[in-house]
Amino acid sequence: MRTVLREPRRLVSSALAIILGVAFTCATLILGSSLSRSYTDQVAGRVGDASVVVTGSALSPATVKAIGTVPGVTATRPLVEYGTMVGTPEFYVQIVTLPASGKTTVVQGRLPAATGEVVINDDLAQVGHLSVGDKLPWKEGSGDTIVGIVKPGSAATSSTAIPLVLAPDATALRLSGGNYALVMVSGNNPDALVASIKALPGISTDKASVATAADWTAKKVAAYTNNTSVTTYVLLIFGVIAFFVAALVISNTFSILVAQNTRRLALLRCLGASRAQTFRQVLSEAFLTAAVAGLIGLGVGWGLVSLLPLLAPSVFGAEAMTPDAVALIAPWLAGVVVTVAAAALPARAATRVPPLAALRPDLAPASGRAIGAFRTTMGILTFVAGGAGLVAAAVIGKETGVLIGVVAGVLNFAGVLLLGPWWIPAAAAALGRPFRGHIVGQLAGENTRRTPRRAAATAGALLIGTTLVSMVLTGAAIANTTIQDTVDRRHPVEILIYGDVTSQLTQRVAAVKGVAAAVDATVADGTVEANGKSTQVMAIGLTTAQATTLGWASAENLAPDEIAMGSSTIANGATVNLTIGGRAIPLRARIVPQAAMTAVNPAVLSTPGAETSKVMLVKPTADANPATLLGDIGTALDGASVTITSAHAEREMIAQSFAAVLAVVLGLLGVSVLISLVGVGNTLGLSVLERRRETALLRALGLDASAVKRLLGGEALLLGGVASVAGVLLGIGYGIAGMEAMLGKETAVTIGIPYAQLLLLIGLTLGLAWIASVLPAGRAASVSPATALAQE
Amino acid sequence: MPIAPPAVRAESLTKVYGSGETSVTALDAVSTQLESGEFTAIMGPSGSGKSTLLHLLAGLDQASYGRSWVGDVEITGLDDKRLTKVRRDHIGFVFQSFNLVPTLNARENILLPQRLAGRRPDQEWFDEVVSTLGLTERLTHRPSELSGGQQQRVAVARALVMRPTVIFADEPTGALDSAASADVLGVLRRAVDMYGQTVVMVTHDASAARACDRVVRLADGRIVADER
Repeated sequence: MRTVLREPRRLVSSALAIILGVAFTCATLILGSSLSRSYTDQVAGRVGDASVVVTGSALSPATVKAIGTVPGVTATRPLVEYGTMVGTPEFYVQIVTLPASGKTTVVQGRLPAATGEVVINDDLAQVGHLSVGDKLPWKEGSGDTIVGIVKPGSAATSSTAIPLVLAPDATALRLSGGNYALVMVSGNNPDALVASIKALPGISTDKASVATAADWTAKKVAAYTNNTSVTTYVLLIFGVIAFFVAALVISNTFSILVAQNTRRLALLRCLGASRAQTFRQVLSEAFLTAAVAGLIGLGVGWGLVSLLPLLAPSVFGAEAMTPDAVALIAPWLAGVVVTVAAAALPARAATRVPPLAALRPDLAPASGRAIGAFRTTMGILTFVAGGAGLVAAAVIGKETGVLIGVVAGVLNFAGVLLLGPWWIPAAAAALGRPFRGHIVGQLAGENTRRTPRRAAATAGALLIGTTLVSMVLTGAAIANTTIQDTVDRRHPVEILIYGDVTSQLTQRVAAVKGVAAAVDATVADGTVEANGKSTQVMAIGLTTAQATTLGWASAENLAPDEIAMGSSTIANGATVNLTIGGRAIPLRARIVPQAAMTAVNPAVLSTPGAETSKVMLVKPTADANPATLLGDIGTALDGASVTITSAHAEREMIAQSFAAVLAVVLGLLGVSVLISLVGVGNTLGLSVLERRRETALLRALGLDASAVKRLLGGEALLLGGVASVAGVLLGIGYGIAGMEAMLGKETAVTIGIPYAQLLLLIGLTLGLAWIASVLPAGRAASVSPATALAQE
Repeated sequence: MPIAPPAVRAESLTKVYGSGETSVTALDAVSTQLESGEFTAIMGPSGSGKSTLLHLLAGLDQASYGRSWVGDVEITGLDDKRLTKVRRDHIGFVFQSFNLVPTLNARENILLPQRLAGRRPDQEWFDEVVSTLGLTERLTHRPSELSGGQQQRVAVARALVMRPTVIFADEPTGALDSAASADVLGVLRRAVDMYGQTVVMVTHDASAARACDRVVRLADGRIVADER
């Protein structure tokens, strides 16, 4: 293959960048469309051959019979779909009719054969600790035996990943309290049937909706696709980021290649190639690289997505991972367009090589002007404008603020990148200063500075990744601490117990190790109105003695006309209305800043008509372990019909969801970081080629092979160091601004910076940068002094 | 007659490129001794193997057969690490072009071998070499700011400052005009006369050979003449 930019091998890293970007985008699109299609299949499976679907929350068997008598109806298939909370601790379970046909696979045991027999799915077996032969562990189902564990097919229910009880019609109907949720009606002429069925009196009493099967299916699929579209778009944003980084890497690669092939390009011009021909030649090489790499990327993306059903079979159906045309064409096209666009500027530079350059001796790469006036001006403008925008976004908040924030952030970062050739080499030199004493350190520092634009492009690509990761880490940490604070404020005490609370139980709990105080008090649910706004509260009737026991000094000595509460909008001493039991009681507000509880004198709660109950407020000692404490309290209250809620549990749940989302986002950003590291290795590799003679000279003068490797590694570390430190700083700034914009209006944002994670990010980036330098370093070290110094 | 042991010695030094039918014998069993304190020129037409001989003697390349010594250290068969050490401590180089590291200034280039060896420079000797070579005003300049002749003088200073057993110069005047060439040759001559430095120069320039004490001529990979 004739190439003007020498061997195809040089283009490998550009190809790699394309492969990664295309694979990611392709996988995302396949996933999105597959999930939609599999859901569509699932819904269709449920509908079967019905032409009309009747839905309602409580369809009585009488109504179903009435539907059956409508002329034109050939069959009715009523289905139970009843969700309820059962068990201790409580969990959600859904009771559905066992489908007569459809792919219900028996995993253990058998299908029900008589009344009183049910089967469950694996989720329920896990969550409820149930196995074949057990009875259903709640009151209404206590007479039913589990005879098997099954894997429900698509016809059973709309969501297969929740705990399910499947039973034949009669049993399911009983367990659901005697009502159906859907009726699949078969018959001809769907539209006429809809009208006739709607006219039935039972339909309006049961508050049911009637629609043709086609309409119903379409609506359900549309709702689901809307949800998946959002996910797909979010994922595609990461794809865009990956392509952007790839564009930087490719642009950089082609610039270097053009610079290295000046003589060959000039020779071609001498021999008669026109500027347009040179331009087309470079672009066609870019196109070819992208085309081939794009195809490979499609294969990689498809392959990876096909692995998903193997890794998570419960979530992904095996047959679904087939790509449609869009999933294949769009990413490939994107790859080609991005590559050709990225190579356009370097291609233009290639046309500017004067034919005369062929006759001059080898020129070292011209460092030239680092940065022009236009670029400097644009850089400063965007940086300042973006910065101001970020501040504005934080102040404005809400949706507008977030939108402004995103635009401002992009502008600001663009400014940072534009000014790269100015600050990146300077930062690298500053970072390398402590190592100047060592000759390898000095040379590494000098080498990073000699081609400012190239250093800026390489470090810049890495900077995108590190900034994004740092921003996500910071944002998540801030969100987490802020939300945890909100949770703390929402729970007046760490542990709240309600139900049949008695003073004996309270004494039992107070005796548990780790409990500082346990108090049982009367509470009533109501609302507090002030300034035209009303907030739901749980008003706690507290005596002074109780307040002291709990350590709530601000709730002591409450007068019968006072209410102690936390609020940022109500003034201390203002009159508010506490409405309980339908009666509004005017009270004077005693504002306790940041307080989560609403406390009144117990006399207030003895208002007639107020529905009061007793709760136990438990305050743990400072050194109590939350998890064991809950367990101990549970043991102390064994047999009592009470429910224990704890702030700790909610905090744990929030922390876990955060961790899960964070892991996914970081994984997605990892793709971009990977591409930019390919860019680092690429730049170093190509510069090794340029510096062969210089490296040979150093070898001749006494630099041994391992020192040469350290030299390359040092350059990689300097670039990686600049990118990671700057990235962390920028990311912290963007993360804080972003969180202020998103949450600042609703709650006070607690700035918690995840120092440990950010240090880990820096360390990881440095390590990976070093690894990226290993191959080029090996090649540099293997340069033989003699061959490189031979006169050409 | 020189009393010291030979600075450089070669025994049946051979270099073959390629193998079988397409093999090329660049150097064919060359044996010689180059005395210390002498300015030796190795001459010959292109393809005679003179550059190959220089590269082998200097440890820049591995011989196919034969042995060679620098001082009393045998070069042949040394591994890369030890060879690098020998080059650093005992051999100085002046090449035709691309002698200097572009990112370092003249002073740093001159002291580069010392820094690589981790040795502290002898300030007096450095000052003397620099003034002898007329480089005192150029020490802070980078190679891009020096003329061709000045760059070669910096390279010579670098070689001299180390006080090596031998300085190998590969066509040092090849890229210079006649004035600068004469300059550099004069500098090398002075190094031999004033400091007893051994210099071995590969050249095709007959006038350059006139500055030397001994001329070894090569043709087709063999020594064909050896004159003083």
